[in-house]
Amino acid sequence: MNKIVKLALILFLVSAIVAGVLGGIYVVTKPTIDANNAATTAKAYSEVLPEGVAADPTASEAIGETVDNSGNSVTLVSVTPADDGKTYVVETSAVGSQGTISMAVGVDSETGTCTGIAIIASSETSGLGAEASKPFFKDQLVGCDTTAIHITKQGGTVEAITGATITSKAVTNSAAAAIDYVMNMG
Amino acid sequence: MNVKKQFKDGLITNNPVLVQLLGMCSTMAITTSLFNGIGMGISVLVILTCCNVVISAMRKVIPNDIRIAVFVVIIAGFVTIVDYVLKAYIPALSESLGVFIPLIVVNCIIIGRAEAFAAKNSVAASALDGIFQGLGYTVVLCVMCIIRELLGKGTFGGGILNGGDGIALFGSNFQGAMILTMPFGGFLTLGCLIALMQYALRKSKEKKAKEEDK
Repeated sequence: MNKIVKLALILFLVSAIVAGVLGGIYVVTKPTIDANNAATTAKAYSEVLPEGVAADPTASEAIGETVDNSGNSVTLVSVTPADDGKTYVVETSAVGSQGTISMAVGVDSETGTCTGIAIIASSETSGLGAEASKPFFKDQLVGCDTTAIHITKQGGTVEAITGATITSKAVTNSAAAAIDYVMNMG
Repeated sequence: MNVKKQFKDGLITNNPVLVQLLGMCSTMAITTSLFNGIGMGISVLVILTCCNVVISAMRKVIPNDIRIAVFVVIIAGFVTIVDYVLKAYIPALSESLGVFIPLIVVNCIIIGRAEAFAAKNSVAASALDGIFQGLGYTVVLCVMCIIRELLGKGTFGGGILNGGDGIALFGSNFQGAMILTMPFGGFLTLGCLIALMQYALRKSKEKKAKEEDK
């Protein structure tokens, strides 16, 4: 009996010391980590908007609505009005081929077109799905409305990435869902 | 303590990946660009050395019955520290390695060296063991990265050189064998490397035996 108590005590002590050290490191690194995340989001926001237009990520309004768009279930995370009064940034998340793809979509509410997309986080295959963040793919979505923004197989104008149709679809369907949401916001 | 032997063990004769066959999962998963390979290798090297030192220093205090539990707690602690530090100061690397940093906790190189070496040897020897075994792991990762990147994408130094795209060695029109950047290619590359290593080790053993015969 004594032995068990002694073992438990030692294990408890080791765990307590490790937990203490980790707590310290967490407090030290937390502000930098938060600043990094905020910078990533801010950069994505400025990428999707036309030049000279800005949106403040801290002013975003949470949506938390899941819609089904052409076979992809897309979660609309938040919407942020930009300072030109007609453009909005919508954050979406949808399932790609390897995991969730979080992205920001810029939507012009007057013309109902996409002003740009930026991928905030994804775990798509490097060299295939991960190419979605490269200009050759995502620039095709700029200026598209909800019909044109789909990949060619679905009747749109976007050339899908070779070998990464699932990712291409997830991205275009998310963008289409974002435009739909903004246009029906009223 | 035999520094030279430990060095040779870690890099060649007892290489953690090619000879002990430890840490296969991370080796296969992250070796797609040189940036990943170096980052992962150094992370493991740091964690391995720290864990070896602490475990070796505590080897007389830790009761035998719960030693594995204590090792795991210590390893998890160091891994989480490295995870926070990378997230805060090298976010690009943290993003690119993703879940494989937290997964170092269950990387068998670390628990393997703790159990096989640090729990039985002095602090200084354990520190050296951590550094050399970590180096051995890093070198193999880098070789895998270079081969897979070159044949798969036709670039060298992806993630670091040329603004992160790597230097295109075969011109920008090179298509590459995409298959090598996928897990399947990882198995192929690793298999070839292990075979090469075994061949070289056997050759040098035969040579030694012949010399002794004379």
